Amino acid sequence: MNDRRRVNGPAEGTRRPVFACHVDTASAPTRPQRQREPKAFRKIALETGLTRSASGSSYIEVQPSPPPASYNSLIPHSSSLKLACSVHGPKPLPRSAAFSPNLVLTTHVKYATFATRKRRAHVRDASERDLGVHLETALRGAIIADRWPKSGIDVTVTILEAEDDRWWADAPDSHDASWGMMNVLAGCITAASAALADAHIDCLDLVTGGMAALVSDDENPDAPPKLVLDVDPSEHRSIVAACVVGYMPGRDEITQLWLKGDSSNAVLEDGDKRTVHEALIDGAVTAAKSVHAVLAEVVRESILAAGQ
Amino acid sequence: MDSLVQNANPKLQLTPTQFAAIEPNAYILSQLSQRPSSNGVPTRANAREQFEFRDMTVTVGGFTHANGSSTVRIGDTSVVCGIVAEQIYTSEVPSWDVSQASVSANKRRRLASSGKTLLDNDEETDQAYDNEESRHIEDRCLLVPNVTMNTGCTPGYVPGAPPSEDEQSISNNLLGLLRSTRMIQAEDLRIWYQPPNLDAGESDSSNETQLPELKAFWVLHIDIMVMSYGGNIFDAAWTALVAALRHVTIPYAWWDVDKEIVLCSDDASKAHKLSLREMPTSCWFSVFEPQPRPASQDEVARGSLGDGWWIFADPDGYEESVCEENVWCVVSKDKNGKTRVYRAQNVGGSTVDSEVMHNLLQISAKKWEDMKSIIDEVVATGSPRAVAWKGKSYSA
Amino acid sequence: MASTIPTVAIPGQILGPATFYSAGPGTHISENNVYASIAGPVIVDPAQTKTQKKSTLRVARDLLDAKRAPVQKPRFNTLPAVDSIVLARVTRVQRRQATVAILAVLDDASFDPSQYTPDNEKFASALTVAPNPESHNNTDELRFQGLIRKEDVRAVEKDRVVMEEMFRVGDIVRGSVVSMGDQSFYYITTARNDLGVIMARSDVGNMMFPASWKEMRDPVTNVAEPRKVARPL
Repeated sequence: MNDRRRVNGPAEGTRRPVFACHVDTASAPTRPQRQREPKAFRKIALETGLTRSASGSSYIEVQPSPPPASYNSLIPHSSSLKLACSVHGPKPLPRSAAFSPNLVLTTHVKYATFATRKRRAHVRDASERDLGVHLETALRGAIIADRWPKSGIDVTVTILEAEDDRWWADAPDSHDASWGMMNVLAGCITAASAALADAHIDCLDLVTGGMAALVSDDENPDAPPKLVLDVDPSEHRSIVAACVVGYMPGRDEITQLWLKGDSSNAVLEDGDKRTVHEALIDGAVTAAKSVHAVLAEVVRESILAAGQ
Repeated sequence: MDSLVQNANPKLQLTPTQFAAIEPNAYILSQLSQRPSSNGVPTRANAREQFEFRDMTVTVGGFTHANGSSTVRIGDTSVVCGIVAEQIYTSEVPSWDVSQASVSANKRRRLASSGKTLLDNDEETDQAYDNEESRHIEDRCLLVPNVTMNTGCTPGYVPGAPPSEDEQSISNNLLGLLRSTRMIQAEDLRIWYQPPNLDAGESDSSNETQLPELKAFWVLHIDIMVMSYGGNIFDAAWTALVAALRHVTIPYAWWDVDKEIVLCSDDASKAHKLSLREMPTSCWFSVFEPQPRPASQDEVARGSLGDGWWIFADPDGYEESVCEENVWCVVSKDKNGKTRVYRAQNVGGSTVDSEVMHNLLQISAKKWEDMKSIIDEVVATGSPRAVAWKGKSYSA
Repeated sequence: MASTIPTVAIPGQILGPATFYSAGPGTHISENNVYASIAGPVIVDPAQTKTQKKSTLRVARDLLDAKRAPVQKPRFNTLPAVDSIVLARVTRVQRRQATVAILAVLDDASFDPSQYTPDNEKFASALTVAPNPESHNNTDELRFQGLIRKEDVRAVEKDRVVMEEMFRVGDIVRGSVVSMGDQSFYYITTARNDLGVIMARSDVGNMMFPASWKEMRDPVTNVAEPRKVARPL
């Protein structure tokens, strides 16, 4: 708890503020509803080259669905996704490292302390390590590593704001299902891909992240769950399963696949013959293709901007 | 530019980029001595004048889960600041003594009865109250600023590593400044409980109300992330901190006797902003000394080298890398326009004498005027909107 | 076919069939097509020699790279490669070798600075960015390391080389990469007239100028110091 290398707060620790409406359910607000079509995306803003001190960098922001006009609570209505990524290298490997004929990729993902409703710690936790490993897998499949012998690159993603795991009023302190991480990973993959392109690291394709989920909004537990893309977990009563892919559209190749949740009992809507897994993966791939169009446009514009 | 460098080193035949990378000290010197600006003042390698500050953009808000947040860009440096308010109950503080709060409780009652608020800066602000203010903030560690540079902003900081010496030093300096300027009023961070007056019916004197009890404090976790490293991190961090503090919204909070917890209202109209006493501005200057010092006194006498050293306001990363000595000024002005100096020190050298320091303080005071209007403007425009400031040159 | 080649490409974009084109820097071949692997302007280098039948497609890293004439040995990255001319700073001088930190890779042996148009963007970023603000002395840790072995210092009188009389710590050396070396070092030679020390400070700290192939002179104190001097271009 007490780290002498940081300025520490009270030794007793601090508590999150408790809002009266959490305790008094009568005045609780209602859950936001997804207004978009199941296959529609929230608006994405993507920029490259903002961090001048890095070989390559990017910033991605997914704008949240707007709150209702009458909303004036201090409790944020919804979260958005804000990620900054930087790439350093190719640079020499550490002295102690063994010879490598290939580019050695290192990935780091870190949440800002103020990125989520519950304040994050300064020290990396398991979910951040998890994200780092998934991100590394996604990028490794896209990078042409033998072009850069004896060297390494560091890809660092800072999460300045992360998606909610679920609607805040449902379970203010629950961490059992970190659905928000799925969107974060999809964003990390896209942001890192943009930064790699900015750093001119050879890649087979612009790999992008896509996310899809099976959600259940019906009060009736037997109703079939719906497949939706680009899911804001706070807009749904429950999420049955979710899937993130790192996908290269040009080659129709998946570099990274993460499926989470229990979809074994789920039944798709009538007429859909696919298994639930197939449907989820297809959905995530569709999402990744849409994001690719945005990323391709941004990278192309950055070349033209550099040419002027 | 080619010809310039080749003049300096006719046989070298390096490109300017290579020369600049290999011999930063000589490169900066060659630019200073060979590139006077329109008014005859030597200019730096980045084409700025000695006391010219870089363009700056300040944004407040934009980070949903912070009570206050800001983004500051100064040239190629950019930092993000997020402030999260959490609470600590006095009942959980082992050393907490009810009498510790007596002075402010008395004052609170006195003010309540006279219909004034604590923030009316009246003559009643006595010494005891002042001391208690800062003691509460310091003893209880209510302000927790930390700077993080291992965000990939520069390859020198390994992500996941513990805070480096630079980060520790900046964090501690931020904390030191927050304390010594006493810009945050402890009252803004206190959560009171006014017990009901059970004896009201029996007593004649209505003045004998119960003393309010101090039940909890707000703690401000101030986290600053350096997103891009382009020199002068401290000024960017401090500006971001001040802007974010101005943007902080603290929910209305009260002690719930039945549940024995502090509850907050999510009603934005009941929440309060921090009433900052001052808005100090920090200005870093780097002192550039050519290495080696001019070999012959002739060169100095000929005037081409001036005093043999220069001061760079708002240094960029390249300049910082060759400057050993820095000068740090923190100034503020009170309501009467009187300048208060919170820091005036040189770090890493002793070239700067009191006369130069005086000039730098005057420049800092002028910068303060601009900083104040930028931050006032950005806070007034509501979040999130960026206010841009065009870099400019000052004279003492 | 040429009309269908895009002017700028992004990674993964198809450029042309591999039956018509060779894959140059910034591209790769997949399923009989040449694809871009970095983002940038697409350049078609016509077949140069009789042995070469196909034109080469490449994606340039920047504008400077786009203007570069086709060379025999295309470079697929910006790292030091065999025969690269490098600028390096001497970091350690030992009895049998000198250690250097590679500062820049000059693109080919016929590098001519007068033909060089400064790339403004790179220039600006070189000026504003401190590579490692944490400790300025350790900047070299982030650079590729090179080794000049005693036998690679000069072409003549190899056995009479005394390393301390060839290089001093801090000297700037122009060298040529001999081999990729081991896990940590590139092997570098200065055994050519145009290679060796190009910039050095004297004992008292003044910039010296070359006096001969084995001496540099301090213009202020007029003291000469021994070095393996590169012949000025």
